[in-house]
Amino acid sequence: MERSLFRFIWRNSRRQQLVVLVIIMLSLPFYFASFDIPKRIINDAIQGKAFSAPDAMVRFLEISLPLPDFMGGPINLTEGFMVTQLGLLWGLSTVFLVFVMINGAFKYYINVMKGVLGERLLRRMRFVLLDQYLRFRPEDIRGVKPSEAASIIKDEVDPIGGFAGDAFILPAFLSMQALTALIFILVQSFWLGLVAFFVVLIQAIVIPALRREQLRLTQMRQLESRKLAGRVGEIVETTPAIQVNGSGTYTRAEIGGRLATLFDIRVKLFKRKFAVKYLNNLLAQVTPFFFYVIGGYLALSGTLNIGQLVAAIAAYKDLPPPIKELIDWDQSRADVMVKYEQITAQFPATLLPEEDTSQSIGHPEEDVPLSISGLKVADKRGASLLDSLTLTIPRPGHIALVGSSGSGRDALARVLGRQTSYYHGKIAIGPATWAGPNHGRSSLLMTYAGQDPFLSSGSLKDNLIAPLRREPEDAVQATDAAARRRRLEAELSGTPAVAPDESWIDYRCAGVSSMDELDERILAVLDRTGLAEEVYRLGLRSKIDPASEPELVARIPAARELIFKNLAAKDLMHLVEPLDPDRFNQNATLAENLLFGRQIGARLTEGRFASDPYLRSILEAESLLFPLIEIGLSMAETAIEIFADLEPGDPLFARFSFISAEDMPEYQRLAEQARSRGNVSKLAMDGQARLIELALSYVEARHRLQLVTPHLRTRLLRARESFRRHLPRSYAADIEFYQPDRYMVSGTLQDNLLFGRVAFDAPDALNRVQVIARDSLRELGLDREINRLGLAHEVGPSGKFLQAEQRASLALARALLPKAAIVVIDGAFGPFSPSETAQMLTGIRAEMAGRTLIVSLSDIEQAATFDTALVFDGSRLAQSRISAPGDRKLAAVNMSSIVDISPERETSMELVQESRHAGQ
Amino acid sequence: MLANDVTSLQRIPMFKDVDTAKLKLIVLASQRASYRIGDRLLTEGERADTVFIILEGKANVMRNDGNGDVQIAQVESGAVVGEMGVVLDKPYSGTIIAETPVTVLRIDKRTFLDLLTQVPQFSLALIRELANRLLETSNLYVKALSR
Repeated sequence: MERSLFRFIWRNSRRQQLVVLVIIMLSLPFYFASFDIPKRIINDAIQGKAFSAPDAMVRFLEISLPLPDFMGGPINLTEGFMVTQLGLLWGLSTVFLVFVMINGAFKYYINVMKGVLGERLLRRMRFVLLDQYLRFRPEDIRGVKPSEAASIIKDEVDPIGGFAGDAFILPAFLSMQALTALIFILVQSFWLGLVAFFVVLIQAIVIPALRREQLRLTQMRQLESRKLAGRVGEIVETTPAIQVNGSGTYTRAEIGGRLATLFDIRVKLFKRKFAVKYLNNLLAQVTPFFFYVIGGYLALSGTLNIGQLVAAIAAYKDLPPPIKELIDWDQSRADVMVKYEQITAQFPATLLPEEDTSQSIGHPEEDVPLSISGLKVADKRGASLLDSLTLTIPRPGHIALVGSSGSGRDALARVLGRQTSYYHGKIAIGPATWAGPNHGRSSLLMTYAGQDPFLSSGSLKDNLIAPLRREPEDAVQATDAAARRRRLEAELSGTPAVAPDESWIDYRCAGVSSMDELDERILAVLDRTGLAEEVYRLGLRSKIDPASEPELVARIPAARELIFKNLAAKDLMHLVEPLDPDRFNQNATLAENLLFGRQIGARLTEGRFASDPYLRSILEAESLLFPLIEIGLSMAETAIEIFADLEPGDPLFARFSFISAEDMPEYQRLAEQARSRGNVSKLAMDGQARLIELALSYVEARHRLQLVTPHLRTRLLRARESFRRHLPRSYAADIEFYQPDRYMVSGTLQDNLLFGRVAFDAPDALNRVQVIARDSLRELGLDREINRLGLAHEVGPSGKFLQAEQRASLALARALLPKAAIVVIDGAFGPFSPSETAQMLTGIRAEMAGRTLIVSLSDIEQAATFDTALVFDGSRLAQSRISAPGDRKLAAVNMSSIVDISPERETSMELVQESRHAGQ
Repeated sequence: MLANDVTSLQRIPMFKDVDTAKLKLIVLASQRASYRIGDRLLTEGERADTVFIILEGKANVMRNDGNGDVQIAQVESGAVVGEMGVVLDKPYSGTIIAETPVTVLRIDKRTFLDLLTQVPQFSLALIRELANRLLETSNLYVKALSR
């Protein structure tokens, strides 16, 4: 990025700036003429100076080109025509109006051009900034706060973009305007011109000087705002930790302090800003005083006529605005230059090289070894993370890096995975070196899965196919005018011309040729990383819009029939309790049993449901109000007894409590009130509503508090009927009643497939039902659809909607999806147990057969079957076993740092070569 | 039902020192399930992902000796099974088949590990149970040696 803002603007908009400048020049004669016409109207048309007698006529619109004699003398363009005094008044007034319109049109065009120019540069600048972030070295990008970067790209560059359009055009335009007006006044009267000139001079010198402090305060405010944005981002990300640590009060105080600083700066800014404004206005208003006094005196003394005085005053009226705007421009200039410098200063001295697909090392020959020579890695304080390492590893092969956390194992994995660029030494495959990562095609060569999965908002599939996205070689040519304009504008702004909605998926990279094949490969890879089952379950749990999936919805009844047929065949009908309009369902909530449906509208949402007047009237009519309050109270008391002494962040609390941690104090208060008053009817209405709301979430088979008596069931069924029968028409959009022959929009696909609830009291019921459902759906050819829905599951910002294991599995699958020559797995098994890791590793190794896999492991036993095993003790390579895949032939190894090998390790490792490091 | 299950747990020696509130938590966090005669609670070699607390009934512990399943023990009300596989992250070491109708509390692996880490009384109860088993095994070993 250019270090100078003006250079950046000029380099990227030179041609457009010059076009606008030419247009400004063209506009000036019209602008000048618009000053002269009022003088002629007053002197010639009103005072009649052009007329020798009252009924005389003069020639109007006689236009000639005043060429000098050597060029042939003046040329008459029009002869004009004769008009009376009144005709001249009309004619000149009309010409004045025409000039006003022409000047307005010029202004309109120039302003639009300026705006477009500024927006184009803003677009370029935002793009360049993001591009720069994408080229940060891995170590540098970790130090960037995401919210600060977002604040810079979104907010801080905005005024710079606005200024970019004005950078050259505005001073040129305004200077010429001001100069025109000043020259005009000077032509009319030297003395008035001199007064105007001095006032302009004072404004141009004093005002900017006063504004310097204003500028300093603006910079301070920008820095403080950026810090605030960064801190707010951190607070949002660490809210759970703040809640658990009870540091919310301090956090609030800290933010309060930052807001106070911003407030103080703003107050100082206001004071300075309006003081300057006051002075500016004063100077602008004092000048007319001189004009009236001096101009009036000159007019009275006969050295200035009234027309000239009026024209000079009119011209002066047009002088302060451009001067004021020029001063404003100067302030903006200084302001945005500081902003620009602050933005560019945060970029590190070295960035990764620009993407260059032409120099990609691509797919190296399969049997070219990976050679490491003199590789050393140190941390920022100079402590060694990896001692000098030189070795050659045959490819393809499976390589285990073994060691404890923080040992040379991690440093080597990070270097090989291109997660650190600060190292000495050389890594190469044949003639191609590891340095200079080429992001454009890097997933063809190598993919990496580390401890942090780095997921983006979007679906599971969006995240999985990220490494397959390549700029399409045969991008669709823009055919319609809008597409062509879009592409041209992208080129003018220096942003990518290929739209993101074109086909960016490089199927070849995943070894497939179509989207269908890609989906199959995705599922195969997910199966290797243990996520395929979960994707299927997510598909079953997804909610679909029947209008967008009519074919799938149409097949649900047949699928349901087959699932129940298969359940019956295996004597497993008891695993699902069907939803029956005439029966109480003990695996459903009391709310579902009451409504025989689901709340979907705003009126019956959680928190408002129990206080809804219609529902309350039904509960009262069926004598259910107090039984439900009693149930809610029992649930509250049980939850208080069980969970009151657990921490709010306790996983058991989160999974099993009927009451959230935030609501616990409120329910404790309600329970105490109920106890002290001896009767729930004495509780306040909102307290009763809260307990009813809690009771309606009760599921007899799940919570097992034995709170639903046969009598209550009967009354609930009666209330169900009343609720539906008397439901006011205005509630129709707020509830979806269960109907077996209609797709439930509020329910999941599984709800619709089963039209019932899976039994809580049958062992492993959900899994068993899902297995049968899966077999049935496969039989009907619907399993592909379910997987498609599962892959469309939203992962949330940074994958927050997924569990840690799911995020890790997804990241591993993403690394495996492209058929990269080398896959590096560095601590990605963290969330898994050893048995899960072992199982996953088997699948991944099968997937990577014939290719190079590098895995960091902590257990030496897991490395026994790997072709190569490098064991690290601290930063030193302690043992190694290097062999070609399959035959385990010995391979060349040259280690510069070797230590003793313990006897028990020798038994599990086939030592190839060892030597003492010179210094040990 | 929750209250009944809590009462059942209170009768089990292993849980005699665990508070009622914590027993309620254990019951609430588990799934009550019934097995018919001959049903398999768990199978040898399968991934250990559930712990069972037997509330009622009897079940046979079988082990494959290479020639087929051989009964090596019988468990009944009060027994905890499957916990070693879950703790060690190893497959189940035996198969358990209901000898009579059996009622159990099933605790999935994640919940069981959370109970161990979050409820010290529960961890202590389990440690005591495992220590008792170790002691019994040692006694059997000593007896076998002295024969």
